[in-house]
Amino acid sequence: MRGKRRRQLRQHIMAYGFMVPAFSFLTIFLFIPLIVAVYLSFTRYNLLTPPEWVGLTNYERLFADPLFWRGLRNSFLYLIATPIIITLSIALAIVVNRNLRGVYLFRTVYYIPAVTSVVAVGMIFEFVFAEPGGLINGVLLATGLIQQPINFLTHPDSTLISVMLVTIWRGIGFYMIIFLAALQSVPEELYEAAAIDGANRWQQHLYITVPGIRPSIIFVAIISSISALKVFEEIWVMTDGTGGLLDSALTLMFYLYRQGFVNLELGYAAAIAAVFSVITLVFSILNLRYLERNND
Amino acid sequence: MKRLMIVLVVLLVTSMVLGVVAAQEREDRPNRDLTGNFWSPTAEDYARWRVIDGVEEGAEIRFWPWALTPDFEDYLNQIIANFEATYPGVNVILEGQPAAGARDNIRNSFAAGTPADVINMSDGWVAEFAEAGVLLNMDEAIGVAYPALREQYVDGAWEKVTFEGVTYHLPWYLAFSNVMAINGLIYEELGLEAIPTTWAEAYDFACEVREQSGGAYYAYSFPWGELAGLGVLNTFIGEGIAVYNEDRSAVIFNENPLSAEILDQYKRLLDNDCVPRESLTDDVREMIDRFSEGEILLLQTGPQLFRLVEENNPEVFASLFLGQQFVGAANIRSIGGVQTLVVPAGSQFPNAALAFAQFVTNPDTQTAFSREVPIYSSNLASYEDPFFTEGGPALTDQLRPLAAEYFQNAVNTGILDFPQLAEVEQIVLGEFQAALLGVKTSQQALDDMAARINAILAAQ
Amino acid sequence: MTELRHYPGKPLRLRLRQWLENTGWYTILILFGLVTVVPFLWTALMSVRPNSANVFRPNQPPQLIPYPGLIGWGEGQREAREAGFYAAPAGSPFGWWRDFTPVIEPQLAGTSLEPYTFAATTANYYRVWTDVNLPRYFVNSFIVALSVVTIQLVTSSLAAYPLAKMQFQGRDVLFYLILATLVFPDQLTLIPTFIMSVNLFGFADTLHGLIIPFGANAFGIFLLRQTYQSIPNELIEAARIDGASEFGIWWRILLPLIRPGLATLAIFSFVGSWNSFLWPLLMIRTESMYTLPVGLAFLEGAFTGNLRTVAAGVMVATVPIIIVFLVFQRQFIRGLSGAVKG
Repeated sequence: MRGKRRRQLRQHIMAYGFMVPAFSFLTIFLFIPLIVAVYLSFTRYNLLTPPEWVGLTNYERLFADPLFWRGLRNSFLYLIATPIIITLSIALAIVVNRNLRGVYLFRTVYYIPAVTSVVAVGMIFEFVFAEPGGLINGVLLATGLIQQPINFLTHPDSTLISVMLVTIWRGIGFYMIIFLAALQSVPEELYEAAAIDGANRWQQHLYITVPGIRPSIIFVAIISSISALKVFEEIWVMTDGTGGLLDSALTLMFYLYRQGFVNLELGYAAAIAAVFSVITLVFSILNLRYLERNND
Repeated sequence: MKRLMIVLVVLLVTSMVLGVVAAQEREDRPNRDLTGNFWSPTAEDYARWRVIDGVEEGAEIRFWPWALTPDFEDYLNQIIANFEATYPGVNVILEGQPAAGARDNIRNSFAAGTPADVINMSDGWVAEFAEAGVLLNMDEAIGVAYPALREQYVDGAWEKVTFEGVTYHLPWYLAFSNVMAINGLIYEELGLEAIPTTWAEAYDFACEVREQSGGAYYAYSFPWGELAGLGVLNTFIGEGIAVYNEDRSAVIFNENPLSAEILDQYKRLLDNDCVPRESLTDDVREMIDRFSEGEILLLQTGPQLFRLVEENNPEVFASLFLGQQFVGAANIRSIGGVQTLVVPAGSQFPNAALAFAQFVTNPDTQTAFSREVPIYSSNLASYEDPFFTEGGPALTDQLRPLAAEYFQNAVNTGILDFPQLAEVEQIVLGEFQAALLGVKTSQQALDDMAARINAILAAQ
Repeated sequence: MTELRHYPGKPLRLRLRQWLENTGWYTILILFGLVTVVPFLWTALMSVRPNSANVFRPNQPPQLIPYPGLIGWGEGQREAREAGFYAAPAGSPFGWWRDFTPVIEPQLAGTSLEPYTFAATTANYYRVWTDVNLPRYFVNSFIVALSVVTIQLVTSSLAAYPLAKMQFQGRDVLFYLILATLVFPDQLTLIPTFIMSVNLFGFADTLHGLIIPFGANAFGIFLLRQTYQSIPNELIEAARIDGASEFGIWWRILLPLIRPGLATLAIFSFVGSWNSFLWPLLMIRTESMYTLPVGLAFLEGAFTGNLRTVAAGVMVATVPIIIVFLVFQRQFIRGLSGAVKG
């Protein structure tokens, strides 16, 4: 009994010992700033003069603010991008994991969007979405597939979807890498055994690949849904910082940016951040619990 | 791991070698017009330039211009050298800011309590700092203490941004806003003989050009996606519509039926494809790119931006000739964009900083800047220089003789004086889009716009 | 999944099937490759377009095929354009240009390819080189990114191990704390971090100010936790029974096993650090300490914004990342074939 407790204690010390370096950095450069930011949500703060305590005012204002709710709605709408990204990036990872000649080249090519700077992405997609002579409209009009140019960014109903396309384009290569790394760890013997048992390709993937890379799927599901909820850069660059026609692409993170860094209401922005983080955290934990329970 | 290490080491060594080579290789761009006393000043020049008293001995001040380095680094270094010779014992450190991120950087430096001593801001940025009370009051520091210096500045630029009637900036360089570039290739191809001069004619002209060219060209496009600048309110003023009531406590532009008519005209242009649909989302840069593509006949921006056309499409640039921008019924000539210099109220060396800001905006220094790039001096004394009175044959040189008279009489429309300017800009843009996209009638959108702005004004 | 091997004696039917299958895979690879590479290619082509050309050509075929035009490096572009060739006098290290246009253009003239071709130039890259102190920024970015990657690999791989594989109190709380830092918008933590870094730690205008605040990476800890989870517990238990210390287990058994995860994290944190813009912009005041993205931001000035130069800048910033990626992906594949099977 005492031996067991001693072992437990030792394991605790070991566990915390392993985490000390990371958590000291995190505490100073993330946890403390995070606490400061939460404190700011109870203040009026314009960055230029010291914060002034206002209690719950920011939170009261938040719940009555229609743009806050629109932002929340758009952020959750943006989650549609997540399953698309996951499916496509797993499929792509499976293909580039095959032993084909020149596959290195393709892996690299697929990863390019993930490393291209957001400014370049903006420049490029301005050209891709342009009307009527852009890449997509130009080709479709020339081939007679459409008669009228598609209003990618010049119609309030399509702005959010167009921006989502950019996110998916940027995301696939990024998450492909994670799945590729995971696929590499699935022992090949399993496939050989399954092939002997008469499983076809599709069944092999369903019963070997997917369970084998399950921790990574969970990881990508959590990370990509967090970043879908947090989407900001693409919207900022594709709408030139306006949030799209009639605020049609205004997500919560974009609204936070507008309040905090355009209107200089940092206290209010911090309140948005706090509420948003609680919602996202609960969402992510539930998501994680659900996915990890299914694991067992 | 071995191969990885080799690659990394090779990369590191290569880049270091390159670094050493580059350190020797970098050289100045020689293309100076050495006339004028700016590049080789005499003792007399130094004496004449020395106008601010009480400059702190041994002061070290930091200067943040934005979007000017490295293109104008030689010029800026020369300013600093001249200044340091004019006020011996003062040391200026140049810390150029890139266009992207400059505003964030300025704000954060204030938040951390470490702003530079002289900061270059666009006119639209000044208000928030003035409202927060962190800037030196220039009406006192220059206006009261050195009235003769104050007199030199273009009035419209001095008043471009005020908070509660007080100016917190020194005007630096100006854009000549009365100019229009005309694409000569399209002009010839369509066999045009004249360009309209007023907005009233310009609306129909847009559809005529579209029709006449068989859908190949547009007459002009708009930067309606631009959040900053409150362009539509300026248009109202240009048409003689009163934006404010008499004591400026509320906006009343919605009461004049002409306002709704203008928006209706815009909507008509848009719906009939007389202007590109992307006008809805374009900002000024994108408008210039669109013009550079060679599908637009007219470009209404300051000449300082024509260089963008030259870079992207030399063919179009070679064909350009100049005209006057369309005017509204009121024929108002308004001051365009103003770049400013501000001094933080908490500067450790306020007199040195003020002296430097004044020095950068003095007549000689500014004339020298206009020689580098077609921007215009905010200092009326600059225009006595032969450089301005004589002009030249090149496209933008033709404008110089006109500039003095223009700026002397250019009025400030007072649009940037709204409290919470950023929010007002969002309101105007949102309601404007609602009208153009047909979500609301033009009148309804204007009423809502006015009501929301008035709510902000009333809360003040 | 195993590759069908190419035996000379294999029946024709099988060989045909293999050929069809491979063709199918390549079709998918290429189609997808096009979607991703076209914008990049567009940037690359833009970066070699000559200054005398119209970059926008409405209603005309796009010029997609470059042929060598004005090629070289250093001063003397104008001379080369006039005389066809320029070489700097002996003693100056750079300055060699040659205009191939007069040689190649006539050969293309009249062919059906002609409207699609243009004379490529290296002038835009040279312009980037002279406008910003590129090698200097390169070195800075490299030092910063390399340090950040190294520190993050160590801290994350240490911290993720107990979170994945040990039983102790507070594990879930700590893990959710890490999750919380991931969900909280970094725009807002940036300000307190900045004020603290400048006023408390005196990091302003130093390169370590760009490294130390990124010493730990919540994303990395999460990523490696998932990687550790895919390792069977039996492996660790067996090592414990053999009397290995926890540190020994981590160092000798687990680290080799999670190499693919480490390589992935290395790629991500390198890219993150390499592309980071706002933080170095806020921290660094001295030009000689700029990182690449900050330096390249200066290519777009108040009255300029030459698309070709900006595109060349984008290429210059992106290509090193692609090299790093190539290195690491080969690396994690190698690491595996040894680890998993052994």
